[in-house]
Amino acid sequence: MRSRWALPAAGLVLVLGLTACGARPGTAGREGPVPSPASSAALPSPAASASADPLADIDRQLAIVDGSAAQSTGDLTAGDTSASVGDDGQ
Amino acid sequence: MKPSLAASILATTVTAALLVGSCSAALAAEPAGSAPSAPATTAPRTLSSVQALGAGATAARISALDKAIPRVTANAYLSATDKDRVLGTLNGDRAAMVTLAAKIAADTDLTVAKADYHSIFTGYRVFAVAIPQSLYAAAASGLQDAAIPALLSAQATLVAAISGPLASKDTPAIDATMADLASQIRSAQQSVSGVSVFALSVTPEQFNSNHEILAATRASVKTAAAAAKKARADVASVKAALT
Repeated sequence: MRSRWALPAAGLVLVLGLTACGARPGTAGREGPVPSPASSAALPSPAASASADPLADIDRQLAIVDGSAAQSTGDLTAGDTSASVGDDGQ
Repeated sequence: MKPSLAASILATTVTAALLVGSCSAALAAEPAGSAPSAPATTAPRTLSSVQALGAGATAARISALDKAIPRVTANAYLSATDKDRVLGTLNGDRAAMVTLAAKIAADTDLTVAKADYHSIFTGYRVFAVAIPQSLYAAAASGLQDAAIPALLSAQATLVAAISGPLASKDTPAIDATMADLASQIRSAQQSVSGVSVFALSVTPEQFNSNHEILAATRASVKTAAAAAKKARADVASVKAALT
């Protein structure tokens, strides 16, 4: 003869089991992938991150400096070489 | 050959070493009556020797100009006006070297050949004026029109960050680096000011009268370039400290 507590007990066991597996009661069978921090919709978009980074433009500016230096450093050395030879060599 | 000249040339680069022949020959080809500078030096004063030296000297300049002209053409910082001026000088000198090479090769009189040979140097100063002035002007333009504005922009970005959202990360070391950044930018601005205009104004005749006429310009460009390099390092250092 089935106890009058059998049904509630079975339900309790089911709830506890699902909870132990990481599921919440009432969501079994609808569980999707756990969102990673990187894909969280709560994080700002990349564009928003760039505009929010107060140093975002520094690398571009340093690249401009590097580009200018690349066209001048070797040239100046060449100028030294040219100017270092004697009068009639110039 | 003058001993000091020989020592100087031998101590320089391979490029300069290639010029030793023409330098020694140039001195050897001085007009008759000039005192011999070294007893061991043989002085080729024949027409064929002057012609050979002329061929070497013009070829060396044509080769250097052929390297400089594409570099100037591709330079992204020279203004169109300055680039036209520089290329006009370099292409003009190249054409003159070709003409002189042919004339010297065809000369039949030693005195005329010697005069033509000396005009390779005194008339054009390819290595002393034409190429260096183009390099200094290009470097100065790059600093003035690109590097320094970029450094000023980076400086403003850092100042805004330090006084705003990243204020909590500010340190005395960062403040010191920012102060140096400002100093280096000022140094670069002051050093490069007027360099391009002056460099491009120098003529072979001016160099013939004053062999140091471009020395201060060269020093100024080097100072400005070094300051810009230090300022760049300051910007990177502060950015790393704030990140």
